Amino acid sequence: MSSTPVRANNPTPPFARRKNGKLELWVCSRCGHVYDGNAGEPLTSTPPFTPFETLPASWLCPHCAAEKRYFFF
Amino acid sequence: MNDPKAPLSTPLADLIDARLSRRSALKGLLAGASGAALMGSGLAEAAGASSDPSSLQFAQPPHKIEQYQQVSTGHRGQVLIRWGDKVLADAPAFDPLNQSAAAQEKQFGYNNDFVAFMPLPRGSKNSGHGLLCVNQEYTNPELMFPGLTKTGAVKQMNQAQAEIEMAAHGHSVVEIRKTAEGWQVVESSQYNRRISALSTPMTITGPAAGHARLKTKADPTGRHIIGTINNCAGGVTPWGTVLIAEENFNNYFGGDPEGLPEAANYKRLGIKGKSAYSWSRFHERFDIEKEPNEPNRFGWVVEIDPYDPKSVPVKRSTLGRFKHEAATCVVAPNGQVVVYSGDDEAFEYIYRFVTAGKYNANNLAANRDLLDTGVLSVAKFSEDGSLRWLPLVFGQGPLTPANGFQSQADVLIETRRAADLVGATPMDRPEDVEANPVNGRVYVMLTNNTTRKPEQINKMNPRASNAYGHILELLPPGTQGNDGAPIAQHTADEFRWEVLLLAGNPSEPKHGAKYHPDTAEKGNWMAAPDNCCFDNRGRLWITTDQGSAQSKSGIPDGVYACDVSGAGRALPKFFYACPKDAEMCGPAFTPDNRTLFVAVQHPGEDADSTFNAPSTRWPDFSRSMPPRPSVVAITRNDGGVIGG
Repeated sequence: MSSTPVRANNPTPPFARRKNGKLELWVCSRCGHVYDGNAGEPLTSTPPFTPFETLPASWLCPHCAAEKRYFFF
Repeated sequence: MNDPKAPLSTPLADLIDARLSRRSALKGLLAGASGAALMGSGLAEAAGASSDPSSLQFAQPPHKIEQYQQVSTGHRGQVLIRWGDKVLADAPAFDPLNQSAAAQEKQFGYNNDFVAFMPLPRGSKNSGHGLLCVNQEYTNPELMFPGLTKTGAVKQMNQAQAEIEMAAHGHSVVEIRKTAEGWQVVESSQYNRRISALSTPMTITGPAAGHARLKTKADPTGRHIIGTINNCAGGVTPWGTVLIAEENFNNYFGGDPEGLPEAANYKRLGIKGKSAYSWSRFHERFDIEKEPNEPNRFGWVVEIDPYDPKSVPVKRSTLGRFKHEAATCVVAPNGQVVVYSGDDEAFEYIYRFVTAGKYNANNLAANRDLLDTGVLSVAKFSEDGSLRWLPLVFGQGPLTPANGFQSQADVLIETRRAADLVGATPMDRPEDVEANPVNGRVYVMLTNNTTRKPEQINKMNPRASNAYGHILELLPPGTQGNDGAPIAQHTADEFRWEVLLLAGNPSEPKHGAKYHPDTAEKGNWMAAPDNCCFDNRGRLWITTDQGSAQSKSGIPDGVYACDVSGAGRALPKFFYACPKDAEMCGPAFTPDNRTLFVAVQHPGEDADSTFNAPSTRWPDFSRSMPPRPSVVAITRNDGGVIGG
């Protein structure tokens, strides 16, 4: 990853959230990988509390390298 | 043909068969370049009339993504069986607008991956009659049903559709026969069988069987499991059964693991609280908040006896629980049976299981439970070219109660954590791991790992952001050098290893690819090696799976073949191109090497591709039919041996 994702320690709407208030989990529709923005993603050097929406467009699924547009929640 | 959404009315495959390859036309112009072996040993073979150092002299099809398959000129790619085709004699004709789970359980399932050809009669080398055993790994609901989208399907689906998906998972056994017209399915065969995720009863054996962590409301014994999911590749045992390997089983489970006793176990496997499937909405057992132990009943290797359609499939817990890409068998010189398996995820490991008992070639039934006793090990590589197999045995090293392991069952249920603790080497997505029957070496397909950082590279995984993957050779004692017949000691504690090739485009320096130096001129480059098999000369046949990266690389997934010794070592030749957005799986030869079966998986799997507007309608090219995953039988037009 060449660019650093925006860090949001206190994410607010419009970031999608779960019922418990935590950031929404995003799922790769190609391989099923779950991106958990609350925990961050060490594999892509993504720190905790990074909403999926703020990941750079160049971000790829760490499992199957699918682009962001393959993800849903 | 440039508009991917354009309706198609005529099948094109036969026209393409006749297409003249540009490379074959150029072949005569390239005489004179000499070939030196890459990164390995090997004496130059007699080059013969051609200056091409490869022993593989078939014409290469265009290295270009099309909506249709492309086969090496001089070969035929016959679509043998498609999603929805009859498996059982009383299956209804496939109607994509009128599907049901009951019909799907009698029809060929979705997304064919592993293919095994099991000759008839059992134990023979018959190459004209046998059982085609095919994994049906997963489903693409947006291509199976009208009105769904790729990223919306999980919420859009209804229960009937979810159960059709469950029925489309699993495995198919189909009797096939070679005729003058080509291969044919024997529709009324006593052997034909569907194994599904919806209804097929299975048992589990070995240390994890009956363990409290496998018990559920529906199965208080912890020994009886319904179905198998996400079977990627597999293997064939010497006693004529088939091993199928549960891979991304985590995808099917909904519910939040937080607070569950198994939370850490599940998170390590990717179960984080959101499922890529809708099943947990309709079937409680896929919701971990309601059935918290169900995921422990998946992630195993399953043994199937295709010759007995009434046999109950068995999950062999001794082989460990992880995202098994495959489970390939070889008999060691001392008679012990060795099973190799990769754990298909970035930074995961390579495993080996060695049976305690010995294979009995004179009494096949005596081998029935051979896989229930033995030792599972994991690979630790060293940069000095050595490799140690570290046993995962309860009570040894860190695998003790101090680390939460109370028994061998715990070690197997949490195989990944056990492997972490003993210090296994994280690899770049280990997929197929197969022993070469000629040179005795073991070949590992490392598909890719775009998340490896520069500070994490090593000689075994030498590229950061490895987008193209690579192939390693593991050398059991007895297989070094190319002289004489090797006696590969597959049960040894220590192996050596070498790099066979680094995939990518050798004409693009930034890819960092390494092949035979003649690859750009006489062969072709590949990306994302995934599955493999060997021909009777020990040459490596590789199938690729780039995923969505296909659109960036500009090359299709397909079949490549290369020599592994001699002057043509690591010079891949391109043999078959999948249709658009498909991956290539299941390469399997008949014993005479005159047929190569391949599986075209998820044709048309693109982010925007749907049932109504797919990116390809292969293989039917009919407006009323979506694309269909299918098994293709490749033969030479002159009936000769494939690859020569």
